Amino acid sequence: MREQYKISIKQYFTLIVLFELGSAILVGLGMNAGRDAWLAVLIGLVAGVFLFLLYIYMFKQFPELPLSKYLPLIVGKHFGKVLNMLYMLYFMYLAARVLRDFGSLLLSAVFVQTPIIVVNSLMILTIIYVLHLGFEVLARTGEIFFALTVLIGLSIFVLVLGADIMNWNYIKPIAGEGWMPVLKASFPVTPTFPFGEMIAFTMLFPYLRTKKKALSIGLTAMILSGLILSLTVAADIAILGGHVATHVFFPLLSAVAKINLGEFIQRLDALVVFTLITGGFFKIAVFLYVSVKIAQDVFSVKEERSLLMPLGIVILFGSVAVASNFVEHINEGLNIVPHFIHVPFQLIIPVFFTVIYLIRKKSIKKKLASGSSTLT
Amino acid sequence: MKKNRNNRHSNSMNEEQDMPVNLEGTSSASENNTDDGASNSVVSSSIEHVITYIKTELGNPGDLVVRHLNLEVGLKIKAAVIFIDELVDSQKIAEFVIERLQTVPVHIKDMPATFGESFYFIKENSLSLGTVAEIENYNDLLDGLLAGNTAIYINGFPKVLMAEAIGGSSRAIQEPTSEVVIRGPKEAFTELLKTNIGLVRRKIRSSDLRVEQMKLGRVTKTPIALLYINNIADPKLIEEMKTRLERIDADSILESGQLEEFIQDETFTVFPQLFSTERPDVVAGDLLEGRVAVMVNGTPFTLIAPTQFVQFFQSPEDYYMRYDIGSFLRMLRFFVFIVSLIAPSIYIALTTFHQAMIPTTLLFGLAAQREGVPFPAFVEALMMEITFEILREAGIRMPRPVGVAVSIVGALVLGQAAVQAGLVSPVMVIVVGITAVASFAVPSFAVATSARLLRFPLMLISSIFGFYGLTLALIVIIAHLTSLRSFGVPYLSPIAPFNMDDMKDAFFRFPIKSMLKRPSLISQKNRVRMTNHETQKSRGE
Amino acid sequence: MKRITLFLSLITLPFLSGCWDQHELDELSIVMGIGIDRADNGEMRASFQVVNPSEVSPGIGGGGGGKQPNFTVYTSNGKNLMEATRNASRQTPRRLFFAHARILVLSEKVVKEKGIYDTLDMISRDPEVRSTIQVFIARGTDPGTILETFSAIDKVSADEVASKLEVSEKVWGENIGMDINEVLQSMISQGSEPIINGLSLRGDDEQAITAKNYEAGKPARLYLNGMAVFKHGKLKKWADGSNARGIVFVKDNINSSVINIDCEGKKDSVAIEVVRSKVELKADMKGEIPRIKVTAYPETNIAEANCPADFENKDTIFKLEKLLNKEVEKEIKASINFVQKQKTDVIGFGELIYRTDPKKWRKIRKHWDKTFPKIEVTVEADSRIRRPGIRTSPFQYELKNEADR
Repeated sequence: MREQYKISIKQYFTLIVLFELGSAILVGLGMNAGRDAWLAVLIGLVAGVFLFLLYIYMFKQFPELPLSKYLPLIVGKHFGKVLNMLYMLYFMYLAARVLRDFGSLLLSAVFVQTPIIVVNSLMILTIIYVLHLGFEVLARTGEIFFALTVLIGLSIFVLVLGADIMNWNYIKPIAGEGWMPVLKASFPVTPTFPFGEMIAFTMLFPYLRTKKKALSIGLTAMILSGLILSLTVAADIAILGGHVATHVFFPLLSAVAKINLGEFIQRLDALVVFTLITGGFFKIAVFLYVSVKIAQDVFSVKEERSLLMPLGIVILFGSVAVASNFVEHINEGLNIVPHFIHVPFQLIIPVFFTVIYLIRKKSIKKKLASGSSTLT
Repeated sequence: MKKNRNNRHSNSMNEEQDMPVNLEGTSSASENNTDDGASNSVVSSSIEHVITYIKTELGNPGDLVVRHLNLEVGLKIKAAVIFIDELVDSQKIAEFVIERLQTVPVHIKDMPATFGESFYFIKENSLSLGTVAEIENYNDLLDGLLAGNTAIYINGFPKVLMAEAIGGSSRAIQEPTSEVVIRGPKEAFTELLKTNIGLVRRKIRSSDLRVEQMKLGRVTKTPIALLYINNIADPKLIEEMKTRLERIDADSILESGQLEEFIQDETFTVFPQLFSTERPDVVAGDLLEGRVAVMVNGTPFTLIAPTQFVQFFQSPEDYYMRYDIGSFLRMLRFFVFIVSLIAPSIYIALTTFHQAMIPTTLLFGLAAQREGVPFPAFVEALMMEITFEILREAGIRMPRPVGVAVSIVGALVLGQAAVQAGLVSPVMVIVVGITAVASFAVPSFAVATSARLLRFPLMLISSIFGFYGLTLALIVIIAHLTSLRSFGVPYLSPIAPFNMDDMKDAFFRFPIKSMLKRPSLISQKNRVRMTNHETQKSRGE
Repeated sequence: MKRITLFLSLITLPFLSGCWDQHELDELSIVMGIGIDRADNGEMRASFQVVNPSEVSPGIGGGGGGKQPNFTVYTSNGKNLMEATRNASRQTPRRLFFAHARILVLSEKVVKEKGIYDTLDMISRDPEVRSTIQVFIARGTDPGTILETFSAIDKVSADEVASKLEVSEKVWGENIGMDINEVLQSMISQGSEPIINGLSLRGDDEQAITAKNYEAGKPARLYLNGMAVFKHGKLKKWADGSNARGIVFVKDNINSSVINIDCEGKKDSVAIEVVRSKVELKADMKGEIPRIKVTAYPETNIAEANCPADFENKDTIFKLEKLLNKEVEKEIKASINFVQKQKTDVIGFGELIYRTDPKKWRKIRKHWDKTFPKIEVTVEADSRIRRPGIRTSPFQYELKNEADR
């Protein structure tokens, strides 16, 4: 087994940003709040930061261990294994959902007649290949694609300004229907997706080269991506108008499609699709890697590479099976998953084991100290 | 046997480390390899024996010259001068060996009294050549002869004098052919290792420049030199390079390209993992960055390690011109590389999947041109690309005057005719033309070849999945590039892992004054390249 | 071994997948304009203007040229738009490709009687049709004829119409470009109604649809003709001339226009070129019915002066500015009256009130239809005449001076 690669702080930053923007920038985030969707995103960010602080707190207690290793310590070996299994399935499910998101995006925008399984399997094969080269390669590739994404993002921003298609009147008044609808649209959707999904990084914290910066850099990256998301949502609404923005599946795509500079630069949506794909790529890859890592602990498999293919294929078929149609998929994503899946896994279980940890702190520390030689 | 040989080579290398240009082909005589069999036995003290031995071992070749001499050096001696024609400078031998031996000064008082004394007398007084060594076993004698040295044998003493008068026809130093610059030195390496080492030494006149020599190839015994600057290059790197070189066990090393395949990190890749150059200034510059160079006798192409991907886009000219134009040209080259890689794929993806993105008027034009073309865009592109590859290959292989004609006929006449015949659309000719020109603008031939190879799979995938396939394929290529390492250095550094300081010399070429440090991943200890001129100036004021 | 399996699966995948969404350029019929009408039996009738690329593109391509028309129009019926579209494939040799369609022409009769709603869904749902497609209403004619009309300058008439709109928007100001997206947005959001450009045919109908049209000295031409004001998705009334421009003024969409004012007692003798204009809308929420204040700030140049006025005297300019203010105020006032009379809020006063005071809006939005006509609107203009072109006083002023002397 090869030595575990250490993630540099730059790679940590770029991975978080790509991960957070990944699929969230694509689907209309918080669009239930109508023209105040951008506010809903910001509220989600604030709530998400608290979740992140909770994860970081647990990491500080076990700076050398990932989630899957300290869970059994806290709740006991067998129950820990059950929880680990659940988390593995959770991350795989999330990966499948993101994969489905992107498959649907491609299908509705470009590949109208292509079966979704083909599009998705191409994606999952690419991810498996890259992870096969090692997580290090993924992290480094992330650096390059981060730069590319920034470049393309900025040029699209310039084009939008140049095309003069934004009408800021569309997002006024702020909270015109009162704050209740905004809050209703925010909870629990926006804090859990995408900010709460940072729980996946609890598996990666111990591999940071500079562990001290896990909090500060992580927060910066989260806040930056939150602001980008909020700005994007605001721009979507300013370009399309509140009605259209909330009634298309991929507002960003429709917004970019409106760029038309002198009949020469037009229909950039097709180009944007492929920039977005890279974001989805990293999100799915992180989820897949994290679930492989947990599976490695649960089933005590030595070589992580041997798990990539089986889990990848499960995710592939999962992505097709999660919903029978796109509407169902989106409905689940907005109404069911946040309440019944995100909240337990991102909030309830972490709070639960944190509390247990605080109660049994001493004995756990003792166990950790004595067992450290056998653990590592 | 094999191991012994290798040991010997490496040992000899170590011993001769500080000798700048040592005798070609003569490894140190002091070593005792007597257990190596008959060929390694001590030279006989009878002239007949020696000559017969040489003749039988070499198969009595026609180009072996044995000149018998009768000398009078105190006592009358039978001697022989033995060499292989065409490997030696026969004029030198006539003038500085044979003539000198025949006119031994007679007025000296202490004339030698034994064969042994006369041997040393001749060595010290009668040979006016720079390098003369003593040899005492047959193995070294044969090696020396085959390397182009001249053996002088004095009857009655079991040693041989080896004089270096290597000659024979060789090419003069000429302008580089594959790395042409407008501004900068116009000399290129030749096939002779000696000359090449000398060219580098002339650029770096430092006692820290180390040249270590060894021989590789069981049959060819090709001399190889490892160059580095002692306190700049990382000792670990030097050690690693030596181990990799010593690990090689092959019949022949005829060109540095073969050597490259032996010492590179990853075999299954289309990207060159070692940078090769025929320019002494490039080698000097890379040595000064802390890299090591490997020269192979018989080729002007020198290998440089570790290699980073960005190196292939750096032309020595960047550093000789102003930094602004240097930076511009460098960015242009990266762009050009991308064009040569994906231009046909983009055309295919746009015209068969994403017609919406084509500006309306242009779409009319493209559609009009496609009317009546019988093939799908992918086949059309493939045909043109392959035709172009054939033309290019033919242009290189043909005798030069014909080659030009072929290119012109191919490019102009064939393209025009194909369009008129309705086989391809005119735009396709433009696309293929741009791709071709772009691939020539990439300064490194090696990396341009990678683009040429990758172009075809990219065309295929974008004809099936449009930009989606192209995006994923590019992700795979980039991931593959990031996974490569050259002697431990990530191939894609300083882009990934990102390093701000090193970026000054990657996509851009910052002003020389601002590049204070050597590349961070290459040189580990001695990183400061120059004093900070800006602070100096402010101190002075 | 694993490497090989992975490699093989990557290689074979593309071949298994085939080419579902691949279309060669010569398999596409590029649609430039879409027309929607109703047949006599109540079915949807769709017309598609399809370009013949080899005739349209310059240089190489078709070769001989001139033998085929630049474009052709397919018309087919169906119960809904989608059916009509697919039905057209019985006539078209290639797949209809909508991504480059620039105009969508609706029938006046249909939008007046049945409303606009049934026509827009498919257009906004189809991923291929661009959301920047401009919407028009065929005024006094039918969409089919509009699409079939041969144009004189641009080779494709749909292209020409879209360009006409752009130019007219920039220099005349009686039309606002309305793409499908904006139509939908203004249709749905409370407190605003869509306003859509009219397109008419002037000249010989019979000749318009033959190739003779672009050879004739006096061809039949398509021209922009007013804007249709909607109410609950149905065409209510046409806003023409100054009414239209007044609406454009209030909507703050004037790029450039020409306003005539009197000078030295001579009616409409000075033409003022509006260079840019800004409009401020303020809603006063006090009282039962909100009051709205419109302030326009046009920036102008003198473009033409056919009267003996002294432009070197700044007082003359100030006088002209005052006249201009009155003219602008009159025009805006008239257009607001017109809109209020039609009881349709195309300007978006409702939106304005919502932006200023959402709580109040929630109270009045239920009976906005009734409230809107009662709203009291005050109009004010504060114009600036920046420069009188490259001449000082008009030569008529010099003539007058000569005569006086």
